[in-house]
Amino acid sequence: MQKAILLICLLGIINPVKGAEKHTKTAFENAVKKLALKDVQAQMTLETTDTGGSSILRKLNVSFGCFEKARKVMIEITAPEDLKGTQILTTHFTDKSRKDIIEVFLPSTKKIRKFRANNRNLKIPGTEIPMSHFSSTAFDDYLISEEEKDNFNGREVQKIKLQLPGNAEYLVIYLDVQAELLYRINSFDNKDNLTSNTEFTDYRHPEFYTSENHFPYKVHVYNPTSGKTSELTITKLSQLTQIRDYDFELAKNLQP
Amino acid sequence: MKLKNSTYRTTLITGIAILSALSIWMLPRLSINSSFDSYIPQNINNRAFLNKLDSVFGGNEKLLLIQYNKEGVLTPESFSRTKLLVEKLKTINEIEHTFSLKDIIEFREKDDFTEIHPLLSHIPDMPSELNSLKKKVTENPMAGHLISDDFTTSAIVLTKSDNTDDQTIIAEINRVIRETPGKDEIHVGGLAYIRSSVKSYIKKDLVTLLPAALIVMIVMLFLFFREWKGVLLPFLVVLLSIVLSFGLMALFSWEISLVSILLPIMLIAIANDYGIHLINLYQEKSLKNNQEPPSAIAQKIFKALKRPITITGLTTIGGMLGLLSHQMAPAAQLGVLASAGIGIALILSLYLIPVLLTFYKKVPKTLIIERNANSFLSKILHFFALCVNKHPKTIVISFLVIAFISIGGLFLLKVDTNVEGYFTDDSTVGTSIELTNKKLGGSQYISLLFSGNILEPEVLRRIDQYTAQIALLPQAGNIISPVTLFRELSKGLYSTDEPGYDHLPQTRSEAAQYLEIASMAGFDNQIGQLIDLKHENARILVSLTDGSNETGKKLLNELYNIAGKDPLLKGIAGSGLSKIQIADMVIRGQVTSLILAFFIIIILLSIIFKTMVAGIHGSLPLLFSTLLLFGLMGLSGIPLDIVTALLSSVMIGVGIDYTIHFLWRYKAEYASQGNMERAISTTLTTTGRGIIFNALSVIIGFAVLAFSGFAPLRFFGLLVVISIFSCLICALLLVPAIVTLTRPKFLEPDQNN
Repeated sequence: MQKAILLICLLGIINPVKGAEKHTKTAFENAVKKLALKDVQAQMTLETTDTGGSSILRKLNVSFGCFEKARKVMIEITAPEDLKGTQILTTHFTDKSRKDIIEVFLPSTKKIRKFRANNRNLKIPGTEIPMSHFSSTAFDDYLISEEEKDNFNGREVQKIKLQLPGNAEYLVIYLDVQAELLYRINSFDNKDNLTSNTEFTDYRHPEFYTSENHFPYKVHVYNPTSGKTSELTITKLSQLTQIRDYDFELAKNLQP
Repeated sequence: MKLKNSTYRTTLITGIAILSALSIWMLPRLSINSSFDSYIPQNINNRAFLNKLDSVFGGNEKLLLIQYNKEGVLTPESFSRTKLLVEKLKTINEIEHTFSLKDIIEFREKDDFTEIHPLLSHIPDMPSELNSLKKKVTENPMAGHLISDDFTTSAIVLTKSDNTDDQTIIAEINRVIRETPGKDEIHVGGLAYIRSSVKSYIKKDLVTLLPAALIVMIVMLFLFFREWKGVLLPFLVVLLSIVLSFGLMALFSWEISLVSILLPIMLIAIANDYGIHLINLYQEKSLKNNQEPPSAIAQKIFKALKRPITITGLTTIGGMLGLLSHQMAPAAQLGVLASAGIGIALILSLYLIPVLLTFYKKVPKTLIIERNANSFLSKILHFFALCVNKHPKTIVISFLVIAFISIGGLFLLKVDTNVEGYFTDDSTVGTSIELTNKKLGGSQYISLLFSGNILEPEVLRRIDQYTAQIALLPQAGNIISPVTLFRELSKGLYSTDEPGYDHLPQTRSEAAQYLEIASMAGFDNQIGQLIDLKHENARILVSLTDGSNETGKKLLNELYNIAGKDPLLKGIAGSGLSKIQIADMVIRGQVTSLILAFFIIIILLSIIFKTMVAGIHGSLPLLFSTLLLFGLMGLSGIPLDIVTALLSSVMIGVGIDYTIHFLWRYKAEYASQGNMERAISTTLTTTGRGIIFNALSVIIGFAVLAFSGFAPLRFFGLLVVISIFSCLICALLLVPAIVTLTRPKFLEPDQNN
């Protein structure tokens, strides 16, 4: 009888935790998906400030297209004048055996260069924001473990640790499990030193969204090592009614 | 003086004990500062400009881990060790960033993709492949300061985290080196390492030189006086003056620097002078009247020596205060502290020694000082007296000849404040400096800052031109230029057969877009070192092939010749140039402190002897010693540096004592004997003995510096020995000879007294 009670108790204790972990993981996956926009064009401002307080402002048009075999993100710099027309196209193939590709078009040289995304840790130019920021698969290979609960701007959040197998560096994510929203991503090096702090704020519900999903209109990244900060603000978010391959190609720039 | 009054005695002794206890209590507050830049005032232009550079480009300091193997370091074994070292170094909290051979990248084109790959992923065994790799390494501009042309030396560049203690990071690096054994020699380089070594040497010198000097002094005092009170009393004065002046240093929150390390040595050498003269006269009087109680003798010697000791003390303080004219804060601080220490020694000698002498009940009968005419010392002094009385002109002419030769040496005097010269080539630090300079192009960098529209093709073309011209200068080691960065980036954006490959951007937009792509690929750090975020400032970094002032000055002149007229050039600065400014300050400080010290001494002597002639007479031996000292430095190639710059003030302060003691006693003897020759003989054989004891104690005290780990301190010790010896000979030969020839009126018996 005692054994039966103990078994019931153990089940009662263990199961809810397992359930919670599963719930957290699902909430995290959903939160990441929310960051990866689909068939949408965003107008953004991107302000980078260095340790000396100097800052530069870029304006970007970022289009997110979902195709049969790939998801594509096209970044076009519209300001400052020197960089106007620079385009960066990221292609993430649904076939996982194919590596992501990043293509760059420089208007000054009229040249397109192609890079493999896994070759370097590429960032959005001039910022601390990784190129994988807009990808829903950015955290696919990470192992997830729950940490303690915390507070972010008055809301209770669950901290979760993400680590690639065999890698000492890791991420700590502040997740609102209920709302399935990401608030903060902290990166740590192998010595547990904070290497970057990314915060997602100003979550809003875009009017063209059919679901209740919210999207962060502000992303703030701080790199304590370089002292640089990047502030990405979405000024306008609109739905792409027509998704054309042509719009997600850089080669069109080479046409006379 | 109430020597027998117990209240007076108790109050004096208790007061000194309390002050000493307070000073000892404050000693733990003292800290060591081995930084060289802190010697330069904030408002001096290079330092101010360096601060601007730091604010634009960041100021993280670099350290080098140097791998050396005369057989070559481009081997699989050495490269594996490099990788292992890097992995372990990355785990050190105080290291922010590492940059090594494995981080050098190259652009490759493969299947239409631009790939960024490490230049060295492994070292091939096949000689042909190895040669091909060596060719690639030689051609890669990023590899220039990481591996030597002969492939015997490689470096790992470590970026130090802000606010990291030098000692901690060096200890951690040494731990990693110990834990990663291999065939190659490993050395640590960079200013932080030199600073850390200086700090260790300072600590070591404090622990070894100070007790050594004290032991030497005890031995010397015992040999002079052959009785323990002759040892204990001057020794106590020295000890107390050191403790109290260090207490004062802690009270002022001043730091122990490479310069102020001299304070205890100076006090050991100088502070016992007054005690020596007191004990010398005490023994002289005891011998004359063995029945007289010590308290009575103490009273007599106080009366007899109060004035000359006060005068010599004040003139020494005057000489030391000459150091106040130095712009270098540590030198000026040393002037204050040494003056305070000498003042304390003067007061303690005049008031404490006579009081303590009263505690002795009887003069020992076994007093065995050789004072008879047959002693070696007496024979020498008699010989000097004979020379002065018979051949005064010959003596003066001989000194003049030496003075003229010394003036010739003055023109050869070099000023070199290079910190690298502080270490001998065979020392650990010396070897790392030699490897850094000779194999890796040096570690002291100078920046040429350009401000304006720096991405304009015309500006980039000019910078390219300057970079090419600088590369031809023999004084320039490594050159890190924005144009090199642009050329490398062009290799990633163009194929080898395209005209843009290895070329500069043709438009401002193209340059900006190059940087945008480099930033995307994670080269922000490298860009940030050369071009600021807003593309308004850019700099060319040039390393000095060696740290000497001569090289620094030549390079600076050449850099101004090359780029000085460019309207966008805002300035040329660098830690490598700080020492040139220190050198300028050294020269200015040397000249001003000399003038000030001479001025103070001439005024003091004029007041004491009530005539300006006395001031001029008294300063002549010092003038001769100064000429001899700097002339010898010029002739022997010993440079004037931060430490040796303090020489003249010390020498004047110490050396004037002997002249005053001679003149004081001569005047008294001349008054009592009425015969110049006899007065000179008596003065030389009596006071001359005290002067020799005094000078020997200084010479032997400073001789301890010969055991210092620092070349400047060793030279300092040697030069003080030479200069004090010169002052001694001047006091015993030149001054009496001048007095014999000129018969000055201020030494005639006073009509009123």
